[in-house]
Amino acid sequence: MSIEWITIIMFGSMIFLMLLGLPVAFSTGSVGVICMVIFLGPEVINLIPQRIFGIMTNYLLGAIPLFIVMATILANAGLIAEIYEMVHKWLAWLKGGVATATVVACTLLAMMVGIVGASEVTMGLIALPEMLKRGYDKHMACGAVLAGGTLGILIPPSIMLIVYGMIDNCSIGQLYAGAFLPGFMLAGIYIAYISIRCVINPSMGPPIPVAERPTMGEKIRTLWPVIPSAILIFLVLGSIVLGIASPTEAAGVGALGALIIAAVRRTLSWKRLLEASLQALRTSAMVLWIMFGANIFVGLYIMLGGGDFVRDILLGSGLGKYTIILLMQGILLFLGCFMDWVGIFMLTIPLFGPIVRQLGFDPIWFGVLVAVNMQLSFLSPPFGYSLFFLKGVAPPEVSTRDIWWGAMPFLGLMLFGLFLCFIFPDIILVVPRYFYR
Amino acid sequence: MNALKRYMHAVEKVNIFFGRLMVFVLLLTIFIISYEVLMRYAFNKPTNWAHESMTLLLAILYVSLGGFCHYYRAHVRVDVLWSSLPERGRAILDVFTSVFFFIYIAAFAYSSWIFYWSSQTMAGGGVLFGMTLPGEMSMTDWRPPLYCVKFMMPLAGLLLLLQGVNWFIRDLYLAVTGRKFV
Repeated sequence: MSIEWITIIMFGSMIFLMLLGLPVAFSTGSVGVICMVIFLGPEVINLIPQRIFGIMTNYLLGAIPLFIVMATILANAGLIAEIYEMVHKWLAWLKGGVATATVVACTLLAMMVGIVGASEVTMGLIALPEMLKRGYDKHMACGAVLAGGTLGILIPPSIMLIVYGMIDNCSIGQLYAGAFLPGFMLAGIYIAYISIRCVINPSMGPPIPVAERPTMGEKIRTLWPVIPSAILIFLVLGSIVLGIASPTEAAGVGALGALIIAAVRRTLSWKRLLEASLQALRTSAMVLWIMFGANIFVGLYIMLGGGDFVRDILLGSGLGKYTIILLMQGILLFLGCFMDWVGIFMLTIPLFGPIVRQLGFDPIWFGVLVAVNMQLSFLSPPFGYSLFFLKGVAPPEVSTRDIWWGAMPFLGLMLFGLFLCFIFPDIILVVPRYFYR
Repeated sequence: MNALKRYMHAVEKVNIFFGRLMVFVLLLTIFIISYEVLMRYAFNKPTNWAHESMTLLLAILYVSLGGFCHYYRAHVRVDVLWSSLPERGRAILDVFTSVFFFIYIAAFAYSSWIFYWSSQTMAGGGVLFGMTLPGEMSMTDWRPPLYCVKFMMPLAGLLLLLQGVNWFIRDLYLAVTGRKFV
């Protein structure tokens, strides 16, 4: 059978099963197994365990559960709430201050957590009700929480970049170094947007009345509890970016540090620790099982000649090399509307990665560009994780429609940020160049 | 019906037990890796077992949590059509798609069993109380047995399969009768 038909059958049936609601982990895996038996014969399924064992025992992936458990411990110990409190006290006098404080707090939190859920949920529980109480525009309030919380998966330590580095075989330290600036830039764009809208129309986000503003003493006092976590995170990120420790080691020590901080402050009971760990386990198992299934699928597709097929189509199309990158970003954006990032990465990066290298682009640049692109997938309906997370914790007067409408302008801002990173590769590459030369 | 319910609860209890067990494995890996970092950077005495034991423990963790995760239905779906349906419609779709789930997980469990068995019967040269044991050992300095880790794969496949059967029974009951099966 020709590769065109194989492509149509494999991807068609996988998408069909996904639309019928079979989890991504099982749609990819089952189509992979069935097509394997049809195209190559039944004995070939004995290759499956070898591939899965390879993923299970991948040293780098060990950082995933460790970073996730670090985030859930910090969240369950109340540290995330404290950081919001601190930023809020310092920034609330601004026009649109609570929304700005939310984005700034999310950016700081993004440097502690590698996932979206932890900060998104906490912000939805604390910051969103406060903004609504103070008469903030409902859509903008939702958008600030959504967009800010999503930064968690872009700004290091990020689970996403670990998976990317593992699939594409590039240095996670360099990817981390590259992701800082785009992450801060996105945060800056969100803050600029919020401030501009609030200056034009102050009723959208009124500043805190003078009488309620905290004194300098109060401001300083909110700083103390944050210091241990700040030191912890400085050590974790510093050791990865400087190449002193592997991401897995840094994640393990970070998790231990989070445990110690929580224990010293006596905010972590055994029950909460169990809760935090189980949460982390569910997320890690979900990520890893998608990787198992998608690895079977894409491994088979490449074995059948799919990698060459995709390369020939893209390179033989006569398009310029920047157009090809744009096309890839377009495909990723489209997939992001329906699928989660793990599935997208596992299915597309093994195909795209070699082409990007062959075109002469820096794989670090492309990797971070993809990570920025995936920010949109968290907010783009119909399937966006952040939308669900926020819906799960938002007060009842906030409807699903409000959340979707709130996401829209921030989707535009993210696209603008992605475009900037595409036009000016230095935004991504300047930091890794400085550290790795 | 009561016997069936008792059986299903038993399956779920086993999966929950594995979830709880893996909490300890996760905490253990945190301490192992921190110990290694401490020994290496502070005392300049790296161990030869920390990285590998952590990797193998985490391998056991990922694979054996498949069923636990499925108990919570935490394996992520593409919620375009599925989530807009009423509960009964979802159950009907799930009954249909579970056929594919069973094919995949059965193939996974069966092929992992073969994978495990060939590792178990390999002459690895492990020695216990002076007796040479069969079974594949890792090629590293530390030489942990690999067959124990590989054994978790068919076991995890079985647990996930049983959990899938549970959901299949619940979905089928809901699809046919329109009522929930406890």
